[in-house]
Amino acid sequence: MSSDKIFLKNPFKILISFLIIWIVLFQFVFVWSNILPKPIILWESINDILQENQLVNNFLISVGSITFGIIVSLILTYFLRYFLLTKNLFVDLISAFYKLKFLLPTLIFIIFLVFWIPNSFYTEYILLAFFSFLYISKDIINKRNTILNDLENSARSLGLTSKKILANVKFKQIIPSLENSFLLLHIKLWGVLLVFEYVQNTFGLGSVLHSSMILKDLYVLFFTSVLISLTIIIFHFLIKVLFNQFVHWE
Amino acid sequence: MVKEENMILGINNLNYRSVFKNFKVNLNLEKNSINSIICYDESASALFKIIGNVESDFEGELKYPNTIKSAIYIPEASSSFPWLNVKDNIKYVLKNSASTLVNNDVNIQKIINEVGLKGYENHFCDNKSLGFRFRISLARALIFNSVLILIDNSFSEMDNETKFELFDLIKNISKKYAVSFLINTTNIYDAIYLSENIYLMKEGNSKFLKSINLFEEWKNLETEDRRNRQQKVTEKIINIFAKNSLNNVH
Repeated sequence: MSSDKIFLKNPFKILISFLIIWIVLFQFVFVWSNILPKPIILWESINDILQENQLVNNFLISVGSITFGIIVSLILTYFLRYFLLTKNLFVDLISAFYKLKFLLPTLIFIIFLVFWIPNSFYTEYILLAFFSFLYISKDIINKRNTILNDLENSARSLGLTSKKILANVKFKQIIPSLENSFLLLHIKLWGVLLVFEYVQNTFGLGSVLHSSMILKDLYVLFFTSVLISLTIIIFHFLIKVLFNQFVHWE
Repeated sequence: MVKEENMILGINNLNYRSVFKNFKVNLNLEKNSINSIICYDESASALFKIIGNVESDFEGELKYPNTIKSAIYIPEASSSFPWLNVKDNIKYVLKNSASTLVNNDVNIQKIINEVGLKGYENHFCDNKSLGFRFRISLARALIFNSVLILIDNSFSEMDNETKFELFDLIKNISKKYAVSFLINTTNIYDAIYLSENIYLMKEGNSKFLKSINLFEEWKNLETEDRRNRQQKVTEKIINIFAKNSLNNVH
């Protein structure tokens, strides 16, 4: 998936358009349909949905896991940047792991993880941190050979050591190109998180989706899905703002 | 301009990938002089990287004159760090270089003024502003008290106005500081406008195709007006390249 996909370009407009179409269709046209909930009834039952499903708590747990995963991967990547930009066993290991095509092994691993540690609150935090670190590391490893050498050559001529060039010059050169990686990463993280929480069925928005499927509660299912979409869009926006604010050199 | 002493940079039996095979030349880089290499392949760029301590996997001998402490290499794409402002660009290399130079604010400000960046000390440069970034690269080279500055085709992407402003700057600096410039270019007119010595170079040869001292050329052509003299030297250079099977000279 590339950044020029429509969803990445204009996610908020798409969500608003969807909601408007939904209101018009299901409030006024398909009045007796059970495909999607009726807007007015959903509006009146929001309070019940929030309380009965402990939606605020579950929402905070899910958002906390995603944020934790991204922040931990950022910290790890920063401190391990020198190793990620050189040839070593650690880099070979990450590359080999990533060649497994990642997503499917991750999903299988999730099932086993839930089987081994069924009720742990911290498992999803660790899982997401691990996943996002691997994802960002893989991108840095891939990009290290594609960037121009001019800054590196100049720094070498000015007497900077190889370690400083890699850690402080090459790494900084790569950072702007990581914006798209982070935009895709947080969407993938939501996917992994929801699968994990759905299978675990203990905490988080995934467990709310699980309950709504079991109880065939269309209103909870729809409201939670909209909430997840909206949160993904806000994360997307925040990542862009942070990159514009702090990665200003591109 | 006072010529204090000659600086001969001797290169003996240089072997580097397929670019140099037993390459042997003496580069006469008089103090305060500007010299050019006209070259239409990668050999001059490779030579600059070797002299500027960027490349180290070569065989052969480089005999630096006693006066040279360091030769600073300025690559084709401007090499200032875009995440640092003008002043921090200079401070950063001073602080992190293996050279034992003192981080002196007065000296930094003097050099910033000298390269025409007075008032822009805290500016971050736009990536597309090649002239601005070149000035920073030049300031960083000067702060190192470098006796030899190697400019590798840095003007090829610049508009004429910027280019000639920088040519005047280089001429002024070469007069004020004890520094020589060696410039790699594909533009014969630029080389004639700037230089005292022009070396013609082609990959695979064991020496320069020809070295031309423009003072001598002007003496031989003193009956001609300036425009004709330049035209004759240009034709001479084109003929030398044509004789050596290079017909794409401009």
